This record gives sequence, C-alpha cells and structure tokens, in this order.
Amino acid sequence: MKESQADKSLVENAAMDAIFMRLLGMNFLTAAALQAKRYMYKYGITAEQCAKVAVKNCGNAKNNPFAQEPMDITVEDVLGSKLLASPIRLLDTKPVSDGACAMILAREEKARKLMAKPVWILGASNCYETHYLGDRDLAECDALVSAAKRAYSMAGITDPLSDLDVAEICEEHSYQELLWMEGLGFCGRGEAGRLTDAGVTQMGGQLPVNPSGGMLSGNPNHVAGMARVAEAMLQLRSEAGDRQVRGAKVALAHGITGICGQHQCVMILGNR
Amino acid sequence: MGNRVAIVGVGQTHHRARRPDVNMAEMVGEAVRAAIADAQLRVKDIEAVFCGNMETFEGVYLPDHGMADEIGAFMRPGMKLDSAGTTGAAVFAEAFNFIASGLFRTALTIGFQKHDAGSAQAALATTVTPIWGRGASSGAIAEFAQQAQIYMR
Repeated sequence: MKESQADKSLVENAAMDAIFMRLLGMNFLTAAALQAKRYMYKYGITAEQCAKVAVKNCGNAKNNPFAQEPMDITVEDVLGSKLLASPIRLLDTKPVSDGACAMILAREEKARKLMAKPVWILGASNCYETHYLGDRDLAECDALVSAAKRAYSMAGITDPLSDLDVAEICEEHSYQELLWMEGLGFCGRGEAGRLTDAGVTQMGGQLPVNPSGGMLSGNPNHVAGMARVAEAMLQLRSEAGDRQVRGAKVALAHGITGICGQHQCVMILGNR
Repeated sequence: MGNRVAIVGVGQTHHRARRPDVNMAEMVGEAVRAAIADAQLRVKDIEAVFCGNMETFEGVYLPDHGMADEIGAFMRPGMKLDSAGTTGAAVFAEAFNFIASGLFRTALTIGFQKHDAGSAQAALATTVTPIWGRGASSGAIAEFAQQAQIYMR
C-alpha cells in the first residue's frame, strides 16, 4: 500500500453509509475519536495512559530496522502534540506510510522439509461488527472478543496473559492498543490502562506488546496485519535482534479494518 | 484436495441495466435471502461470509462493512475479495478453499456489482500503466478492441 499516493480521508469517507454518516464528512480518524471518547469515559481511561502506548511503541521502534518513525518521546510530548480530533493528537496516531510485506505458507510435511524449526500457525479467525456507529457501544469490541475466542480455541489458549509470550496489536491510534488488549482478554474491561501503567506490556514485562513499534511507528493500513505476523514470526525464530523477547514460544498477531475496528482478525503463532 | 464440497443453495437477482429501485445493500440482500431460502437454512446456520466486489467500480470503500447486516456477516468471520472480472468466480473458489480445508462447514459466497453507483470505465482506466497507456485508455471497450484486432488479424 502506498498511502502517500492518495487522500486516505476521502476514501475512508466513501466507506460510510451514504445517507446518515457520509455527509457529516467523517473519516476513520474522526470516528476513532468518538470511540476513544466513549471508551475513556466509560472505563476512566486517561489521556496519559493512551500517551504511554505511543511512548512505548515509538521507543520500541528504535530497535526495529523496518520501522518508519523510531522516536524518543515523552508523555508530555504526546499530550502537547497537535490535536487532530479530540482526544486524538498527532503523536497518538499512525503516520502516513508506504510499504509492503510478502509471505510464503506451506503444508506441514513441506514445511518440515524446508526448515528445521518452522513457525506454525496455531489458530486464526476474524469477525465482522455491524456498520452503524449508533448501533454499537463503541467502548466495547464484541467482534474482537469473538475472533479471539475462536483463535484461542484452535490454539488451546485459555489464559492469554500467561499463555502468550509476545503480542503484536494493530493500534492505528494509541487508545486502540488498550481497547484491543481488553477485547483480546489480556485483562478485564477497563483494566488495560492500569496494565500499561504497571509496565506489563513493556519490553521485559510479563507480555510485551508491539516490540516492533506497532502501527504508531509506521505501517500502511493494508499491510499492518501482515506486518504484525512478520514481527511475530521473527520473534519466534529468535531473529528479532535488539527487540527480541527471550524464549518466545507463542505469539499473537492482530489486524483491524473499518470504522472503529469493524473487522477484527486474530492469529496465534508458535514455534513448537 | 481436502473435503468434498457441495453447493446447497443459490439465489440471484434479476440482472438488469439499472436497479434504481434498491441500493447496493438491498440488492445484495435479495440474492442472499434467496440463497438461504433455497438451501432451507437460516442465517444462524452460516459459519462464514465471503463477499466479492470491485470497490473502485462503485466508489464505495469496504462495501462489505456497510452491508454487514444484510449479508449475514454480523458477528461472523469472512472477508471481501476483489479481482475484477474474475471476482465472482474467485470468491466462489475462495469459499470452496475454506470448506475444503475443513475450517468451516457452511459458507455464504456473494458476488455483486451495481453500475449506477459509480463509474466502472474510470476505474478500469487505472489498470493501465500511468506512463505508457493511461492517457490513451478509455476503459474496457478500447482495451478489448485492441485484443480483438490482433486476434482477428
């Protein structure tokens, strides 16, 4: 995807229902702002907790040679950056990005011939939400809960926080990493902010989230899900360099698209 | 080859030059409801939904999202596939792949196009390389005319 070649905002507006939402001039950013507001209000998530996601991910990106925007930033930098659509600020959101990713998959017997330690796909699923924002409680992410449930069931995961070693989550905006962590069952509803405060998702924490730097450090939307899988694979092959999560055996990769995450994908990978 | 796969229901709309009486979601809903009725199933029996449409033709981004309720995709797995003229065949083959693999037992597969919602020829012009051909491209007819001339010669 080459985001630099198009006006993404115009294209995103063309995804909105033509009668009730398109004429409001909404795009995915302004829709996400509604979701962020609702999520923060319902569960008491703070702007500082969201900013910590951006600080962590842009910092992690410094160890990822594929990342577009590795940065040393502080919570104050994020909170002081330009307001795009309240409460989302410039450093809360992903940059415009060009890039591509390609992968080769093989059946088990072929994979075993090709390499000594293949990375296995243990589970994968996806799920649609309904379209109209007014029909949804935007602080919830039922499609993600459903996709995760199916993927976990395939992979035999019962307690994601302890069963997973590393997670790559699509966070087009900083609040999304927190909301999607809850949908993925890493914690209870409204607890992802406290989990982030406690450093659980940092490199060296119980479950490092986005060692690659995530979407906030630069991935095109249509590549981001596969970029998450690529990072998970590098982690499971112990080829992630300075951002390696030691001894990683099971990884989660997540993808989203649509207004406020209308389509959610969850993939579980393992090296055993 | 995987599991054997059967077609257990089919539904079509009447194919017309224009369908100004319905919007895209309503038109697709006609075919979806007919297919489900033909199979004597209910929406809850469908395990996954595969939707085929070239979004540049109608100018609607993520049309599968806008009609998620109409196509029975709400809280179900599925995806949209775009491959222009082969979209209808390719999305059918994609549903076959998923059932043959054993991942799903039933799937709904849908192809749709509604010309009055956009400009198909303008979209087709973007398939031609911007430097050598796009300036001279006038959509499908001109491109196929070149092929016909060479073939007939």
